[in-house]
Amino acid sequence: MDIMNDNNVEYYPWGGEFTVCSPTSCVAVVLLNIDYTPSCDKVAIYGHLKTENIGVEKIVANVISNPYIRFLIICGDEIRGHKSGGSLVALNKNGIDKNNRIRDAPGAIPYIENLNREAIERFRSQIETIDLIGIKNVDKINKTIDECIEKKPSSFGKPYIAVRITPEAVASFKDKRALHSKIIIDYMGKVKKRKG
Amino acid sequence: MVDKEIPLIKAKKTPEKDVTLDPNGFFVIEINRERKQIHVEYYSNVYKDNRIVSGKLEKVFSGDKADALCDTITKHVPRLLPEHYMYIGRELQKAQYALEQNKKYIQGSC
Amino acid sequence: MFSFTKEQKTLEISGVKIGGQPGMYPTVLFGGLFFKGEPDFENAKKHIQNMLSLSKKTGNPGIPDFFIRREEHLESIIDFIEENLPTGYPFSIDIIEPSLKIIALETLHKRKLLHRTIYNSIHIGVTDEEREALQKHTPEMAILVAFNPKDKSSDGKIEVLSNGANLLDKGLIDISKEVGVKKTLVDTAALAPGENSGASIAAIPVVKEEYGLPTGCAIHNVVEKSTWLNEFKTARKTVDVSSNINIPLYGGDFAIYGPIENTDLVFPVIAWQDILVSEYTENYFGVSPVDYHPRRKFF
Repeated sequence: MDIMNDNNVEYYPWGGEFTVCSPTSCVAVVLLNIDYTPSCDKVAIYGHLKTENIGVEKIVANVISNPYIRFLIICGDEIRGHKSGGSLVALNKNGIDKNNRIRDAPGAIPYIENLNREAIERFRSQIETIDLIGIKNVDKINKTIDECIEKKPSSFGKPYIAVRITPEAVASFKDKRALHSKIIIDYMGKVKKRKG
Repeated sequence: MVDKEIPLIKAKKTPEKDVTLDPNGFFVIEINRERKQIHVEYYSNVYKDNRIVSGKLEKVFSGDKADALCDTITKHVPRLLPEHYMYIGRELQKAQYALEQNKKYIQGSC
Repeated sequence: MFSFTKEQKTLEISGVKIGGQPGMYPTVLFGGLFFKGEPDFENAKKHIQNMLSLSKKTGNPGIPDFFIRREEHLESIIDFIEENLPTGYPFSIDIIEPSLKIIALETLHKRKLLHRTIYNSIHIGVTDEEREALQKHTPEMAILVAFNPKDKSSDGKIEVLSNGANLLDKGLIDISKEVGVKKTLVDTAALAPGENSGASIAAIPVVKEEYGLPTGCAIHNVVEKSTWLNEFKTARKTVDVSSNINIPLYGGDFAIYGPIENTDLVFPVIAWQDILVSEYTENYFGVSPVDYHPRRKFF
């Protein structure tokens, strides 16, 4: 889930079902209802979007972790009911209101509950969304990707990590068995079979 | 002469409209093919105007076997509705098969 | 740093003692040869001389572990053993292919070498033909590898030794009794990183308390498979050699340390560890080391 570049920075800290490609490409592709695979040497990351709340949040958290990404192309037929594509574009344009709802989003429940305002502002400054919602024509999408690459934008700066999933290090002090259930070792090292 | 009569109950799926969402949260199950793992995200419910609109990410579980994930999730997320535990069980088994057979996994509805 | 309540067996093969309470006998070291390609007998001779000389210096018995990959190497390797090891000196043979194991046993029997042979190993994959062959051509000593593919924890290892863990009709210990092998060593099966490799060390005191048999493992295998060490090329050998200290530290009796080329480093490292352990066991448990123990030689 997290990718290290040579500076040992983690990209894409939140989950989601996506494919990671070139770490320094400036384009990310969001696929709505469409069966298309972008060319891996041209894009940084691509994946499908389903929901207008958590789905959108994951995309935001993941793209702002890679400062090279400057364009987010959204393509394919809109998801019925959720209208996630439109909600993602709206987030980029308008931000959220005081109830954490994406302003003017067409989706049913477009609430952003896991990212703070700073992360959203970072998303709005770093990323330009390219609205190809409703477009399934592969040539058009590929052309758009190339146009973005042509612009040769600079990196936005440092990675922004909004969510980090860290492995749990747990020490359970309730279990007083040293080494193994079959033996008892006293504090000086004498080993005996454990009864029971 | 019959000693005992035991009822035979026919299985019936609760229709979606009648399903009660768990007040203690919901789960998103995904497959990470690079790491060959199943990731399970546990969210607590976020309510606006008395309805569930999203969730706050609380914990993430990872594993490649349904039984290990089930046992761990039960330990870490107590007090879920019984139907919810059942749902997670069958979805995780589906996810495990999808991972093993390299097939697509789409999380089912309750 | 342990002492066991269960009585510990000390086994002997051709004068080499192995087992007992920690601190009594120096750790026995198995150095491997002929892992890859054609056997290089010239170099092998030098390495074995080197191992024997280091063994005299530190007191740790060194046993050559001959890896036999192909049938065509068998005769020449056995010739080599007869000609280059000191008279009567023990050795172990390490073969994977079951049919080759049988041929090797037959040949060793014919050449009257079984009384010096340590059979590496009897494990979960033992075939009926192999068991028959062991009964007919019984080696003096055998290593039982407690590998349990279903449960890589210490519990799984005990299962495969005691009752076969539903993979064999009997436990490995009973199988060795059935085929008539009187002296057995237990290898706690260290395989690869990520495969509960810590359990191979933690299982050592469990096995010794449970069965009283000399126990050890090939922790080198875990280092060998740790591909992340490729990023630390200069440290790899150090990690490999020093990984073996885990064995005497946890009460083990022998270490299968991998390539015999590492002998110059392994022997002093393990001698040092044996001294550390012996100082403690003598001080606290009153277990004093034998006269050829490194602690008697260096201080």
